[in-house]
Amino acid sequence: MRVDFFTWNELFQEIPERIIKKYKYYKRKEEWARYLSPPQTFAIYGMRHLMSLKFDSSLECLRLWGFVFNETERLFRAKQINKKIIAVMGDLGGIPPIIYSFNSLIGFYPDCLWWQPFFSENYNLFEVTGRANFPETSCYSRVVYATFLKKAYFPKPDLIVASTGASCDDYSCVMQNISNLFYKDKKTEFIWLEIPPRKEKRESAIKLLKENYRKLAKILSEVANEKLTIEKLISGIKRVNLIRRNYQKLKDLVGKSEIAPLGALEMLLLEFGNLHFYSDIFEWQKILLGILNLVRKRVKNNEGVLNKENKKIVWATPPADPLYLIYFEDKGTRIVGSEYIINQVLQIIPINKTDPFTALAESYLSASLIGKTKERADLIINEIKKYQAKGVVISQVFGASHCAYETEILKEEIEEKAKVPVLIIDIPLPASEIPLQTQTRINAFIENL
Amino acid sequence: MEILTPRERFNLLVFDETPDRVLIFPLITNHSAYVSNYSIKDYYTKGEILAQAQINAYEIYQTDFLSVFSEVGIIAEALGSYFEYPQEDLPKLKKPLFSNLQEYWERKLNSQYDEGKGRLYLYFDAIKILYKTLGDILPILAYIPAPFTTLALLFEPTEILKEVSFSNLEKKKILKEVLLLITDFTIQFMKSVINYGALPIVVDPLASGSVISPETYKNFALPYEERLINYLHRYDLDVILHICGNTQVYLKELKKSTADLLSLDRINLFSAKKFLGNKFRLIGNFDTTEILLLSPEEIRKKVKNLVLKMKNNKKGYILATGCEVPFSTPKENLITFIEEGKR
Repeated sequence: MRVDFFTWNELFQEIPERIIKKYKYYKRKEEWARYLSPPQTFAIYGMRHLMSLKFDSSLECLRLWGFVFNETERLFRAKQINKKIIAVMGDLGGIPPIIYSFNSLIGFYPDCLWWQPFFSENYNLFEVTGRANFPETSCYSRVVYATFLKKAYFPKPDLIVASTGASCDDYSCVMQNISNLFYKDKKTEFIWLEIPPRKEKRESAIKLLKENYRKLAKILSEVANEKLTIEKLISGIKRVNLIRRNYQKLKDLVGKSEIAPLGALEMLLLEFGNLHFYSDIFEWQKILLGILNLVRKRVKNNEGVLNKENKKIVWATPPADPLYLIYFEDKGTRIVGSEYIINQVLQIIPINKTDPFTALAESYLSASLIGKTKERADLIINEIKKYQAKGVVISQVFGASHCAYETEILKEEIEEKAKVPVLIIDIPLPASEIPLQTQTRINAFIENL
Repeated sequence: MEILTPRERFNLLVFDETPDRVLIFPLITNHSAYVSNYSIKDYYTKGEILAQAQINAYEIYQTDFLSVFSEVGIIAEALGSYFEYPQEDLPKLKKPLFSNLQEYWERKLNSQYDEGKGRLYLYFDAIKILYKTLGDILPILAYIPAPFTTLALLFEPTEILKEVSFSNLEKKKILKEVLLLITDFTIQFMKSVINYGALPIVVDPLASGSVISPETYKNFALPYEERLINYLHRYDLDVILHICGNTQVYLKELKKSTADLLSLDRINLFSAKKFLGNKFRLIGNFDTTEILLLSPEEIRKKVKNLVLKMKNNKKGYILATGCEVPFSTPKENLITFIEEGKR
C-alpha cells in the first residue's frame, strides 16, 4: 500500500520497540547506530518535502527510507569510529567496488547531495554556491560545492577522487572548484581520474581505465593502511555484483508484474543504492534483499501499490524533485523502466581472477555517458521493449549541459524507433508543488498514452 | 553572513561534531509578542500571531531556534481546567478541573485525546506557519508541559503539592493513576506536534527544586518525564528537557534522565558541567533577571565568561537563558547577548 506522510505516523505507533532498536548500521551496537525512523523524524530535521510525498507502507521500505536519510549522520559516525572517508565524484559507481574491498574505507558520492535542496525545499545551498560566483545557469549539482564549504553534510574526507572526461560538464567545473579548496590542504589528497568519452577504441579505453583503477587502488591502500590483494578485490566485486544482481531481479519483477508491486520513488532510491550503497554495503545488502523478498511475495499474491490500469512508462534522467514521480503515479502511470544515467552500476562486473581491474574497466564502459547519444537512446528503447512501456518521460535539469545537447536527439530516436510518445519536462528549483503549467502538460501526455 | 544555517549547526551538535560556533537559544517566547507590538492575549490565543511574532523575533535577533509556547497550562486546559485570558497577561488558572483527589475519584478524568480540545490548535496553527516559512533553516521547538506540571494545574496547585508530599499510599496510587492518564494524553499531543514538523521539548517547571523535594521529583516527576522521553526516542529524536528554577538539590536524580539535552535554570552550570557534562549536551543558563535589568556591557561580560567556561562541555553546549526571556526585556540586551555568543 502507498500511504501519505501522516498515515506513516499512525503506522509507526504499531512498530514494537525491539524492531525499532534492531536495525543498526556498521554492525554497531550503540544507540546512535539506529536508523529505523519514520518520515516525521527527518521532516523535523528539515526534510520538508517528505510531507508532500507518498510512501510504501511496509516495514522493509521504512527501513529503506530511514537508512537513506540517515546517511549524513552515518558518515560523521564513520569518521568518529576511525573509518577513512573517501569522497568520490563524477564517475558514479565505477570506483566504489574498489573502495569497499577495504575493511576500513567508506566511500560516498557528494554528487547525490544535489537532492538536498529539493528534499528540504530550501535555497540556502544555491545561495551559498551563488556567493562563490556559480551562475544560476549551471546544473543543480553545483550545490555540492556549498556542501564542501559548509562541512555539515559529511566529515572531512581523507581522500577525494574526481573523475573527468565522460562526465557532466557543469559538474566537472564544480569539481575543479572543489579541488581549488583543497589546493593547499596537505592533509587531504585530491586526485583526478579520466573517463574515456567513447567506446569505439575499446582497447585503449580499457587500458586507460585499468591504469586509473590500479593507481587509485595503490593510493587507497596507503590511506587505509591495508594491502589490497587480488582475492580481496574479487571478493569486493562479488559483493557488489550480488547487490547489482538483486537490484536487477527486483527491477524485472517490478517492471514485468501485472500490478506495480513497488512505487517509483522507492525504486529510484534503490537504483541509486547501487552507486555507493549509502555508505554501508553490508546493511544495504540486507535492506535490498528484504525489499526483493517483499516484492516477490507481492507479485505472488498479485498485490500492488498502484491501480492495475496505470499506464507503463519509462523515465530517463533522474528527476531532481522526487515529487514528480509521485505525481505521475497519482495521475495514472507506473514507471517500469529507467535510465537514470547510471547504467554502469546496473551491469554485472565479469569476474576475472587474474586481472579484476580489467573486469572493472570493461564493466564501466557501459556507462550511460560514455559514447554517442544514440547509444543512450538505445538503452531507453531497450527498457521500453523489455517492460512494454507506452511512453517515455525525460526530465531535464536546468543548466546540465548533457540535457541541452542530448534530450532532443533522444526524443527523436525514441519516437522513431520505439514509436511511443516522449514528454520532456524541466524540473524547476525546489518548491512544495509542481507548477500548474507543467501539471497540465503531464496530464495531457498521460491522457494520450 | 554565516556559512551554516541553524539547522545545519544543530545537526552537527547532535552528531557529536563541533559546529562553527556555539548555538544560541535565548528562550524567546512571549517576548516575541513584545517586540512585535502584539497583545499577549492575541499571542496565546491565535496561532498565526504566535508564529508571526516568532518570525519577527527571528528577524531581529537571528537566533538558532524558534519557540512555540504560550504557558504551561495548555494541556491542563485541554483536559478541562478553566483558564481566564487577561488582555495583557498570560492565561491564569481560574478553576482547576478538580478541587481535590476526592473529586477526581467521583468524576474521573476524560483523557480522550482530540486535536480540537482547548487551545491545542494554537500550537498546530503556529507550527504549520513556522514550518512553512522558516522550517527549512530553523529547528522549531514546541514546549510540552510534562505530566507533573499538568497535574499541578488540574487540581488546586497548593493542594496537589501537599498531596504529593504528605498523603498516604492509597492517595499516592491515585495520583499516579492520574499522572498516567495525563502522560497518555501528552504523548498524543506530542504525536500531533511531530506530524506538523516541530521538535517537542519537555518542560517541567513545577517539578523545580524550588517547588518540590528530590523525593517527590523521583516519584512523581521523573518517571513520567521518562515516558515522554522514551516516546520521543522511538522516533530517534534528540530530546531536550527543561526544568525551571533550582535543580541543584536533585542533580543526582536528574542524571538518571535519558534526555539528550538538559536545559537548566538557577544552578551553578559550571559544577553541573562536571557532574552531567559527559552525559548531556547542556543548555543554559543566563539569569533571566539579569537579561532584563543589566546593562548591555555587563551582559556582554557575563556571556563571554559563560561561553568560555561551557563551550568545551564534552557533549556540547547551547548558550541560553535559564528560562523564558522576560516579556519586556530591552532589545539591546538580547542583541548583545546574541552578538557576544556568536563571537
